Amino acid sequence: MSYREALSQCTVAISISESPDMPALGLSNEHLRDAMTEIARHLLALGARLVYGGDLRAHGFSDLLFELIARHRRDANDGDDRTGVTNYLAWPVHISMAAPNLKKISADLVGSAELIYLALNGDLLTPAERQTLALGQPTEEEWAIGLTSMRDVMRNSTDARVVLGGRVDQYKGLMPGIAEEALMSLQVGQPIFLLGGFGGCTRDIAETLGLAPPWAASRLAWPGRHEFEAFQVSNLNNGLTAQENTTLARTPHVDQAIALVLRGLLRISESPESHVITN
Amino acid sequence: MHDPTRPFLVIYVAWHPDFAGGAEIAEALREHFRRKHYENVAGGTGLSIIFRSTPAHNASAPIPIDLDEAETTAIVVLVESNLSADTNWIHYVRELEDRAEAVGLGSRVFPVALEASAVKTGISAQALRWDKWNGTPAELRQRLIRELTYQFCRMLRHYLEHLKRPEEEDAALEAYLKKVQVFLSHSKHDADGERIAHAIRDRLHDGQGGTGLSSFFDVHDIPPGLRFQKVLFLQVKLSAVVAVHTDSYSSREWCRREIIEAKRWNVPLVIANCISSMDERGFPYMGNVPVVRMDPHGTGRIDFVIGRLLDEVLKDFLWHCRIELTGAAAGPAVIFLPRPPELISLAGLPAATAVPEPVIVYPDPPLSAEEERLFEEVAPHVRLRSLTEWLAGATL
Repeated sequence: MSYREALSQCTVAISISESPDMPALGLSNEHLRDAMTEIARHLLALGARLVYGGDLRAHGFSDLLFELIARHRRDANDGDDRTGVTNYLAWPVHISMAAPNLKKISADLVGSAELIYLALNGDLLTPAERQTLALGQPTEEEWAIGLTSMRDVMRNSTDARVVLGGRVDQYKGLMPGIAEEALMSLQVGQPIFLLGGFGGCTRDIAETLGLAPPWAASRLAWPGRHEFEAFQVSNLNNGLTAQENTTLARTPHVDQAIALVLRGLLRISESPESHVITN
Repeated sequence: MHDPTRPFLVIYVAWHPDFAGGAEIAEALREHFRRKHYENVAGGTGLSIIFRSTPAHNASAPIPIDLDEAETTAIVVLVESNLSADTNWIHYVRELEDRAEAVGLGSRVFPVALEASAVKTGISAQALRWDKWNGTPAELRQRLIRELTYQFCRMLRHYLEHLKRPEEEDAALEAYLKKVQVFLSHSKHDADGERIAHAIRDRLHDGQGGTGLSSFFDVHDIPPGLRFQKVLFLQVKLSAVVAVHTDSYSSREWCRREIIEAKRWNVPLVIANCISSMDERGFPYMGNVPVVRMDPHGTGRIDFVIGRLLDEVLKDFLWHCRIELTGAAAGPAVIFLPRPPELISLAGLPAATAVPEPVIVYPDPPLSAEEERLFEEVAPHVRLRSLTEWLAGATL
């Protein structure tokens, strides 16, 4: 048997976070959970693997991903038994969590999802090494270093990125998390999908790239925003035309966004060398 | 050029931000018409529900609704005293009504009058009268869902005719509208089955399950014999089946045949589970469809059966409208299936000599991995694609 799925060789980073614009855009927290779930579900169904860099807050997105994978396993090729979801835990995130708790969480996820613990500089820690670390409360500098390291590791272990929402205040790190993740992808030419319909940081980025019109709630001055001025739609490298990217940057309708993300990923996977946008 | 990723139907729910109960009603609608995320592998109509309540930044009303975002748009407005007293909101709603009117069949505003005072605003005389309904808050929300589902069915029935006959004036399409046929399938061997079937029929006839149902449904109590197959064949695209599943149902030949025909023609099908003791062998082809629990000795759940029937009819209209728009681009190898595939779906495929590698396209969400594997083992030449996957271009 040679069972194959269309995206089984694709690893996608999921950068989804709440956005302050959601109420004005007519979206609730349930819409956000729905978006996360549907994006993940469709990617898993086509064999893709997902990478997420969130924390392990109860009822956070990590929880949602883990629940999803428990009910809707990745549809993998024959012989491909890699887990469907990998969650990278930045050093500042896991260093304040007791080792027995982490051990239990990992055990609960066996076969479905994988937790990877990172050192401050982004090196992988083995579970045994993690067990020996003392609890600590990270400094602000350690938060910034640890989060950036984690995002570096995520980018290097993934083939594409889906970006949605994102706050631009009350974040930890050098710049809003969604922004740093998006910037890292753009800098190395990694395919990136900007789903701007939920507003927030993602929409601001799309606006800077000329994909969405300025709107009243636009925020001009968050740290790092000006760095996106060096890029344009052709840098998204995501297999979609400029028109398709414009639709993706504006639509609040999750199913439309998913169809476009899948379309881009499928085009890339069919012609790996041609990330170039055709109008 | 039609953009196939464009949503076919989106629902907006609008309410005044000072109306404390608005968010709860809106979430109930979202949960019903979307789907519970990972909690259900399937279910819901999968529609996009967007809210309009929080004002736009530095504005007194929400951001506008773009009626071109989707092929069709339904706007539910929750009208109560806060909205009635706010001239900015009155203006917002009136403008919506004017724009929807200009668009024609593709956009409709559905006001819901939660208080008698709402009717005095003059916002559409066709409002749903929540204020006149009886029941607990949860019951009222359920009734609202049923009523809206019914209205959406009527809207899409009209729109489907428009898609089929684009040259006709909207008003002329009325002549082509047909009632949805509902067949009640039950075993006459159980007294419960007959009584419950009649209760469902009476509810659909007298309209207590919602205003106007009798003008939308024709209800038939299926007699044994050839008439069933002939009638179902002729009405296949506008028919639905409610099976009253009592203890002897699966052992009756005609009941089994009726289920198989409903499955083969992919008509909307709802099972009302009225088992009082046990079914010796559940008929295998009754799976893969909604099952509504009923107390065989009571009729308190009939509204749930009717609500679920309306849901299935709505999904069927959505599917046919969507395929009418998108399916023309498909080649002969593509078979559109209005419900998730199951092994009996293979029975309806064209002969392998005619179509060696068929692709079954079915409504989202994607099948779970283990179900896909089963098809791979039984029929490796058949490919399965959810509609979103197919629109995205998945070809493996």
